[in-house]
Amino acid sequence: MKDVYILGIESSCDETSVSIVKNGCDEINTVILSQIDIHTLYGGVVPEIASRNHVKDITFVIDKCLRDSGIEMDMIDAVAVTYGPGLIGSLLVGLEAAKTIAYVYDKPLIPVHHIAGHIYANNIGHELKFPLLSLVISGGHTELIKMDDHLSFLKIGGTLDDAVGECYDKVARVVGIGYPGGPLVDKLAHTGNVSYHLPIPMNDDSYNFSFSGLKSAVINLVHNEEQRGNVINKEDLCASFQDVVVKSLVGKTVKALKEYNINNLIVAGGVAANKGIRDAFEKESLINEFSFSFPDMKYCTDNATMIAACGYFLYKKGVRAGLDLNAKSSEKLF
Amino acid sequence: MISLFLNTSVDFLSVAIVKDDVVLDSFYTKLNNDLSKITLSVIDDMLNRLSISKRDIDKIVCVNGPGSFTGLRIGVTIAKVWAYSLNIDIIGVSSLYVLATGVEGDYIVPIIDARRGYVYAGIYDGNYNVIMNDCYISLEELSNKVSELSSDVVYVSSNGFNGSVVYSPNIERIFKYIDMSNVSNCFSFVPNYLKRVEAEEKLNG
Repeated sequence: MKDVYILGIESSCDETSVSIVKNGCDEINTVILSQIDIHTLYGGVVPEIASRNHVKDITFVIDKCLRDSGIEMDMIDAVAVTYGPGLIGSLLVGLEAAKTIAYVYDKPLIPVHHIAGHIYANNIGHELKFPLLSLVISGGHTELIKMDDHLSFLKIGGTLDDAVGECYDKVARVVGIGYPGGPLVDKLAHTGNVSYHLPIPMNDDSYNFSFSGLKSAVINLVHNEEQRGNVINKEDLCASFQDVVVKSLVGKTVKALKEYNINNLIVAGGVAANKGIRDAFEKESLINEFSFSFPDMKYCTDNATMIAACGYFLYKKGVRAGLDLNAKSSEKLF
Repeated sequence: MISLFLNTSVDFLSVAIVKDDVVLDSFYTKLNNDLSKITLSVIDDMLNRLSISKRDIDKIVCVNGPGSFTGLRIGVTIAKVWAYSLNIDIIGVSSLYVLATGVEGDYIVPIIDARRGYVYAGIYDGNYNVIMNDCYISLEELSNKVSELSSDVVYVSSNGFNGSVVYSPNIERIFKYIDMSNVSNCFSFVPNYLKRVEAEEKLNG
């Protein structure tokens, strides 16, 4: 069978990324230009600054990806692009770039949902096995998704308020350890002990999560300790917070695996890079005998490799977009 | 020499195909947030009507600001990636110059509403030479500058803002008076925002 090469483009937040993936599984080359150093100055992503950098860098990133891959545009079968969800100004740059390159080279254009992309980060290098349960954890998402086959997404639960990554960022801010919150909290958690009491949120029979209450509990705890003149032990607070997050995520996920009789778990999204969460699932997979996979660290944050990987399966299915494809800041996967 | 002209800088879309000095076809429409949806389709329809291949474009003349940040990025991204794909040059054009070419007068003051009493504006003479560089300026200060001019002034904008004449495109005139020396390539071409991001202003003072 002829190999299929997909050129992927991703610009939904503050990473400008272009990748070429063969058959939805083999990464040929990926370029990721991260703006994190710029946004760290502001304590978070400034959308207008992100958009300005995307438009400045987009052709450079496309060129570098193609040049270093040794693949000519003529060999590319289709162009896949993130159309949403994400920051609208950021999305539009990647989208217009993808539409233009697909148009000028007469290539099919494949619209990819950003979260579907994160899930397909798990297809790079080793193929997905169905049925599977996918836990998507990122700055904007916390969802449990059941997949019986490629591109079949059934949401069985999700956060009712804040996303887990959002909660990490806010806790990091309250504790005063800066941005980006997730990796910093994770790092401190490993040197601390679980000594602060925080409630496990949504400790019920559903597959839903809630993190705004946990966030408030951390904020109140910090304020109360400050009022009493006590110094917060940042390491211990991070460890206590992460412990509750892990218990909530692992508890609901393992329950879903058992009740749906599924043996394959994949974790996806930026928070999948969290070591505490990775370790907890690894331990749990041995106890409860399920196979699980995390994307390689480099595919956890936003990247075009996952977009090209997902784009391959959409391409095979015949999904195409026209030149009128628009960016969507909020777009449901289901 | 076939040029693609693209203006997505304000609240309208203006596209033209120009062969040497002759305008082969042009398109102009007011927009409602559908710029990203229609721009490439409009260009494709025009090229099809003219039986010109998208690969036969020799040069892209793209308006790169000032104006709507999102609008500018849509046009500039299309220009950059098209120019990259075909290895051709981009000529950057001021949105205010383009507005000015929509009218005639001794002095022309194109303006774009930048809100809170501010505008993007320039001052051009009757031959569309720059008298005052494009800038981000309060209406009050602009009116002081304009009062120093010796003869009549025509204000022009895309939407009749502040009592100005409403722009209607004159593509021949844009190309007649254009400064073709302002050449960029697909890597160097960026929007000319004329305004820093607020967060940057706060951080850097």
